[in-house]
Amino acid sequence: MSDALEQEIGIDLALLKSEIQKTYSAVSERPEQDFIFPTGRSWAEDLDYPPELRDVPESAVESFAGVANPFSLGRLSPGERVLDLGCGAGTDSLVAAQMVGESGSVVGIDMTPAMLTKARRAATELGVTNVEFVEGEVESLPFPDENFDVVISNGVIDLIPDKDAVYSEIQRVLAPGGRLQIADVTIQNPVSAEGRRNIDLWTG
Amino acid sequence: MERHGFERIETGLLVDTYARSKFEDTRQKAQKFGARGTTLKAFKPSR
Repeated sequence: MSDALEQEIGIDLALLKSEIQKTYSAVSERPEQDFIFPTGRSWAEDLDYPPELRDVPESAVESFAGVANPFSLGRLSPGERVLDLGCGAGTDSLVAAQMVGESGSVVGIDMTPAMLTKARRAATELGVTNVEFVEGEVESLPFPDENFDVVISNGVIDLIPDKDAVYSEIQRVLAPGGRLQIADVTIQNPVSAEGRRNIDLWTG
Repeated sequence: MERHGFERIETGLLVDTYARSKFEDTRQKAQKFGARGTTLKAFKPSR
């Protein structure tokens, strides 16, 4: 699949993954830097994040790099089992953990170790025990079938060339009647073949 | 989304995410390609 996809898109998938990790490690380790996308608490507030954002530690929110507000389509309910795809430093996971409460649970998965370190530290700081963070890739989720009620994500699926694999995995891990509730980037004008080969356009 | 078996698909408002970029080049590219943030909700059918 990877070879066929590489040929179709014309990019080196290993290089793309490495560049994505480099970009988001920088967002984790040097959040004060200027990035090509907006970051931080002021950006999340401008997106009208729910009141639970207030209690999410600055150590997580300073590395928030979402593209919109997935909670704008509805709050999560107490008791729900949530998976956060590409959780980064954990802002959305920690908002979700407060919404679902102790009877619910949240698992955040991300491929960038520096982000996971921040997310775990922020969860401890917030004092929540219903959230865990796992290293892995969203195209091959390390979870059993029908394991979650809700899958959330923010600005992650657009980074992944093999979207069929991502949506198949989401479908697999969602329980019947479960839902996907995500924020992502949409492109409204055609992108040329040359543009699709430009890794900078992918990593933004 | 339908192809992957989802139903009751709902999308939210578009957000001009990259208009907030500190970089003029990024703002121009986002404008050119119509890149926006958006939200989407969809359900897996019940059994």
